[in-house]
Amino acid sequence: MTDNELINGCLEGSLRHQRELYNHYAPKMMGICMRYAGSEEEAEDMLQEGFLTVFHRIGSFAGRGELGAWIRKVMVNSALMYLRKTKKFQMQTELEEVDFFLESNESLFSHLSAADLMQMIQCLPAGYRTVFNLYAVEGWNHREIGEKLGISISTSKSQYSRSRKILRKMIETEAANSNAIRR
Amino acid sequence: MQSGDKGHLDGMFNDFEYEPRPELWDRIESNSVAQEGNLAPVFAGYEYTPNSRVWRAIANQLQSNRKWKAFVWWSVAAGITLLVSLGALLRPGQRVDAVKEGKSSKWANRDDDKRSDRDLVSKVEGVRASGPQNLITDIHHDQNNHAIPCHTTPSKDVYPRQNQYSYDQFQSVAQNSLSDRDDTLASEELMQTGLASRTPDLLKMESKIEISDLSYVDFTDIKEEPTGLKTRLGSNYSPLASAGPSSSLEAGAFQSLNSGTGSLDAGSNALGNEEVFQTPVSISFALQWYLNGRWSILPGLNYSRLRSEAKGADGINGELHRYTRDYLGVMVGLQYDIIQKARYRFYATGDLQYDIGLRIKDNYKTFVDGQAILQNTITGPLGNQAGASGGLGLCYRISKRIGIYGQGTVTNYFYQSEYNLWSARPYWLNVQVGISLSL
Repeated sequence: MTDNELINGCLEGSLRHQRELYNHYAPKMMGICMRYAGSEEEAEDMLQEGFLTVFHRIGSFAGRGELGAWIRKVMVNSALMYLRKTKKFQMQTELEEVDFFLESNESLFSHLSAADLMQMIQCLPAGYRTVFNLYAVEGWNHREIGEKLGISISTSKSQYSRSRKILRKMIETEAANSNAIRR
Repeated sequence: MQSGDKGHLDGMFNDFEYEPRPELWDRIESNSVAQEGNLAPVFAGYEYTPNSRVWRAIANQLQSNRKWKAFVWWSVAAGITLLVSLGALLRPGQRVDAVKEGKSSKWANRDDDKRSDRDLVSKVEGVRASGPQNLITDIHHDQNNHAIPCHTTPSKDVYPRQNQYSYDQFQSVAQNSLSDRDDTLASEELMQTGLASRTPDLLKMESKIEISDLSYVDFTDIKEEPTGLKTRLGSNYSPLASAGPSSSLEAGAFQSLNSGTGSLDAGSNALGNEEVFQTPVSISFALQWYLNGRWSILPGLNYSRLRSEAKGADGINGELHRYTRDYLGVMVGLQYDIIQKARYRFYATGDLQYDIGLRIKDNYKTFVDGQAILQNTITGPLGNQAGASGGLGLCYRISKRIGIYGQGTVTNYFYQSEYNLWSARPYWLNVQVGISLSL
């Protein structure tokens, strides 16, 4: 079934088409939700709300881009809404000195698989996790993140900086443990 | 270069500072994003199969939404049907209070200079027995202050719209016929217009004219006016004596008792002053469905109150008339969100509306030397109306689903059985406030 057929079916309210669309995109979208959630249950809640929004608002998909990209956008927004609603992230609003890394993410995380990295990201506090995801994975800048989450640019930078520190520490600890086992 | 010169500039730039251009940070940041955003490929192919319970929950939610929507649509349809049916049943002109049996002797007294009371009463009651009892709804006065119960002008409901004569022409003929008090002339004139034989309603009107032309009542002894509504009138006081024959309070008061036509302008004509209208305020409740990101449809109910006032000439000796009209309306609105924010939205709206007339409430006061010596409150049925409106509004979301809105609209009533503010001022601004429930 093509994307157009799926969209038209969903617009008509056909449950069969809605299921088809869900089956097609749910695993990918669940992957996204997992990055923002602290647990699988939370990710499922985000996914559920995200797909309900997709079915509710599919009429507003103009068809200019890919359906998958649009659903992904809806899903990220839905995850952020979920976190805001459940008050999962408490942003620190004080201005902190931000250290700038010369080291890129690529070199820091290059040896990690998506699943390993996912596990580490999930261990981050919700605020750090959210900003890290939006900045490092979605590619938003701090101004956009600030506007979306209702925080200042400085807070966003601070959160990102801290999340990186924590992740680096996790990686170092992980590496030390691996070396100890090898010996 | 000598070695001694080498140390000459040493330390000179230690405190040197230079403010970088503001866009430098943006460049650093964008480069940084180019670097930092590169974790996307790591997760590009990442998938995680959700538990099957997620789809079950989604499907349940979709189904219940569908049932709820169907329920709401059916409710709205049933509500509209019910209100339209009620509106049709309660049309003005059919519900104007009847002259109550047995009351006539209270308001009809002998006047030796004119025709016999007994003749009048028997004739009135004779007609009453033979025809509909909602005919006498108005009182006119002759120059000797004699009240003439009559039904001067039929409502627009009674007047056939497809007729070749304008409503104003028709009204004029009826009015003249009544004031002439010549039943033969009245009938002839009406017959000449060709209106009298067209509808059963107009035949009823002939009966009214017959009554009015034969009736003479001494107004000063009226304790209760013909509709059965109480008039607080002192037994020896005749307001006509002070108000004068051309500016009779009662003329205004009783005219508004008729099926509604001219109730507002009757008051203002009686006083000879412009009527002062207040901005109508409606209170509404609406359900909102988004058809897409911007467009939404809103069925709902609203309650409107129209108020106006007409004052006597000097405010010390004269009359004060207050008119109130209450409507309950069913509406369907189509809205387009011009600005959407998390908490509020600014929108343009177009509505279709059918208003059921709930009640006329007219209050008349006569002042002598600044004191209200006569007060009369009259309530009665009110006709329905249908119209279309357009305007702008602002809605503030107090929760995800519930919003409070206020909008200003201009309404054009294409069907209107009553004269009111919206007839007199078609482009008057209406203020509507309400609650919307988003589905």
